[in-house]
Amino acid sequence: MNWIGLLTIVKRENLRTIKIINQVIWPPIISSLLYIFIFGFSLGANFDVGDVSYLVFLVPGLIMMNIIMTSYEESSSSLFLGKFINYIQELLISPLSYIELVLGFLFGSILRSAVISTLIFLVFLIFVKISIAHIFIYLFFLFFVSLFFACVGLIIALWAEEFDNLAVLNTFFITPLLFFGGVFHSIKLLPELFQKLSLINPLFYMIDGFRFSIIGSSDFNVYYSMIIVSVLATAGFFYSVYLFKKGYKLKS
Amino acid sequence: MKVLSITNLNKFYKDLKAVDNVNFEVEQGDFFGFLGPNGAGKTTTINCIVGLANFSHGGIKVFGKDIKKDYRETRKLIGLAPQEYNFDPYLKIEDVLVYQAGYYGIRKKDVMPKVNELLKQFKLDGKADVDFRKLSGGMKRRLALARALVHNPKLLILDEPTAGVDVELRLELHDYLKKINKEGTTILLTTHYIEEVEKLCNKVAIIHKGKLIANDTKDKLMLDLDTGHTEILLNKKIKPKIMKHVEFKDNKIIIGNKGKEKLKEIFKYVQDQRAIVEDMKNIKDSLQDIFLRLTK
Repeated sequence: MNWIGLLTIVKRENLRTIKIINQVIWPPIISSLLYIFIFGFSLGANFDVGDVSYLVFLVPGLIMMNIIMTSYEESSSSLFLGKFINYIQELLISPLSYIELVLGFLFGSILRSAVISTLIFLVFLIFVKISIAHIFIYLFFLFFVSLFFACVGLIIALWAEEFDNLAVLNTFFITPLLFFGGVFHSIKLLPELFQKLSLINPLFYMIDGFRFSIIGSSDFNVYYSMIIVSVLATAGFFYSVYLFKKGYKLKS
Repeated sequence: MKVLSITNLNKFYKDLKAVDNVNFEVEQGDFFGFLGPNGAGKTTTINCIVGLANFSHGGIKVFGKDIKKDYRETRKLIGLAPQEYNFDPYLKIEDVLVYQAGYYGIRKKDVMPKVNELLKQFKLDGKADVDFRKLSGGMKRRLALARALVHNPKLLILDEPTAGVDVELRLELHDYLKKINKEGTTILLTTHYIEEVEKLCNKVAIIHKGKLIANDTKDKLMLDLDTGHTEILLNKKIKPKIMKHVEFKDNKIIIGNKGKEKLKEIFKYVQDQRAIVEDMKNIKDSLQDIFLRLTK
């Protein structure tokens, strides 16, 4: 294993994060605060969801939304930029294995997700009384959801021919699935048909399981959610490695 | 020792055969010129060597090791300065070299002496903290070369290393390349400046439409393929005489290589025309003449 090479990629990804801090760190924190103020403090101030206030219910959903967005955007933009400017060639001619290459991008992405979600959590602590009920489950979802969406980001970046293509998944799939996946609501509040439809949305298990780790209750059995998320992340990882090994849109 | 062996290399882009059964070898210490017109297959061949292009037929070995099976070892032995600039836009000049070494498994503290040496060598030492975007074209070219050398490769592949570089810098780069070649680095060079190959290389291969059409030592290639000519300068213009491989032009007679056996006849004709031979010289083909003729 070329650990120095792998860490160099992660370091480079972190450097990129720092260089574009105004694009990637502050916006999710500010937008999360706006959601809390508008939906939590004003619209949702007077009702509870299960045993918790709507404000507390909202926090895990918002953090998970940012984990998903961040991990996807980090890996997809980094790899696509590398393809676009061709500096991906530096990596492709180096003695790094395909697994190391993929891991480098993924760890960079997971790290950015972890930093952003932690910062959002800390900022929320100022306004909302929350704590983490199950730290292992919290970390599990943080890691595996970031991993899955970082893999999706890599796959989309490999497929994309221009920057505009990166937005396709975000606009037409991730955002609608996030909103239907329970960021702002419990699926128990939905009519039965929509409750069943929510179960085919993979993002529901991510949000619901992560919510369990913070507030201690969920709409669906958390252990099933953990299995679904880990299977998706594992499949995403192996498919990413397969595409890198094949040189899909990387090698001529 | 064979540094690079390419055997029956074929590379297709859909139906287009970009590299057609190419075979050549580069020995240790060679300064190998790899020539060809645009789109001939030079960069595709290089991309196959360094792992930027997949190929289905043929084999490539670097220091006897297969570039697919033993890619970790072979890639450590190769340094590539590509034709196009491809630097990470978020890195400063020093970081470009440090990160590059990192990908090859070399720690920053271990590579810093080499980084400083290369920055100094390529006159970039005052620019260590500058973004690469702020460098001039010549500086970027030097940085690409420094990056290719940072992990001490045994085989340096240079794809148009002096394109867009001014004459002074080009000469400096030539001197540096000659120096590292003497010190043991084998170099494979592609360039549009054929005089560069003539000056630097001991071996030359020419690729045209994906096929290797010449491959030998530079001297032998020039000797075998030389079709030079002889020029006779007269004191006056004479009436032309129709002779194969001989051309009468103003007060000059130009005799092709194959017309040299007619020299006696030509001198007699000059005498008959009451002209005087003022000068006579043999003109050898340059590598450029040979290249142009082979790729016409």
